[in-house]
Amino acid sequence: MTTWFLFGAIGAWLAAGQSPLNIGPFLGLGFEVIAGYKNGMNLWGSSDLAAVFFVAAPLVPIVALLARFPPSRINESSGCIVLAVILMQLFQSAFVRSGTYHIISNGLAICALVPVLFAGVLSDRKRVSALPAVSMPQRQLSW
Amino acid sequence: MLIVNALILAVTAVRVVVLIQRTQPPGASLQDLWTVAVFLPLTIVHVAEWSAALFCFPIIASTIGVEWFAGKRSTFAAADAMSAVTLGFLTLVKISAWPLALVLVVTS
Repeated sequence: MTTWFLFGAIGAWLAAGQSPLNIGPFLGLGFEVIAGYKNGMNLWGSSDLAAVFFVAAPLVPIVALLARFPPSRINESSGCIVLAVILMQLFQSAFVRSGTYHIISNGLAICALVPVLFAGVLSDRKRVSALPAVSMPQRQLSW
Repeated sequence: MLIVNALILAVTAVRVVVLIQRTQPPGASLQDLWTVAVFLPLTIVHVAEWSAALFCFPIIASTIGVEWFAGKRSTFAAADAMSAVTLGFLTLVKISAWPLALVLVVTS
């Protein structure tokens, strides 16, 4: 996968007519922007109710996934890390600038992820085993 | 740009279909419906600078993550290669995806 990933990134860079020598400065500036976002999050107020719902929505299917597939092997644990980083990135994009349209757009992206997460929870047509996993976090959420 | 956007959306749709085929959830025969369920929220995004294609990175990455999670990491198919190339392209476009790209590369 890494080979194809690098092929896509470097291929697009060269196709855009950029010099390979400019990759270093581009990465440097990019990481400065990322650091700016990170610092921006330090100023974020935790009292935003929208943020609570934003976090709670994807937690339901993710807890259900954890209940259905307790990560025991490294491969499965890495899947958990990937999902966590996706949600953190969307959360940061939504709330670092705190604009309504940022929150709505990234909230909709969360909604787009939910069917993907539930496809995992309900895999192999295990409706019965998935139901307790789904109902448990939903009940906790309602509390 | 319109063609590139369409290609990214098409690859993402294919990746969702592949996820459904591999995980076999209830209604797996209705793969198109699952794909529509994924894309429907993104049709509401109306801010011009945020096309749906920009959100394809987290969608493709989540399909990969869910497959790893559910133990459905089967052989590396053409759809996986296409999605990896798409992720590589989107990494250039979306700086906020860099940490996630790094995690994907390391964990894969």
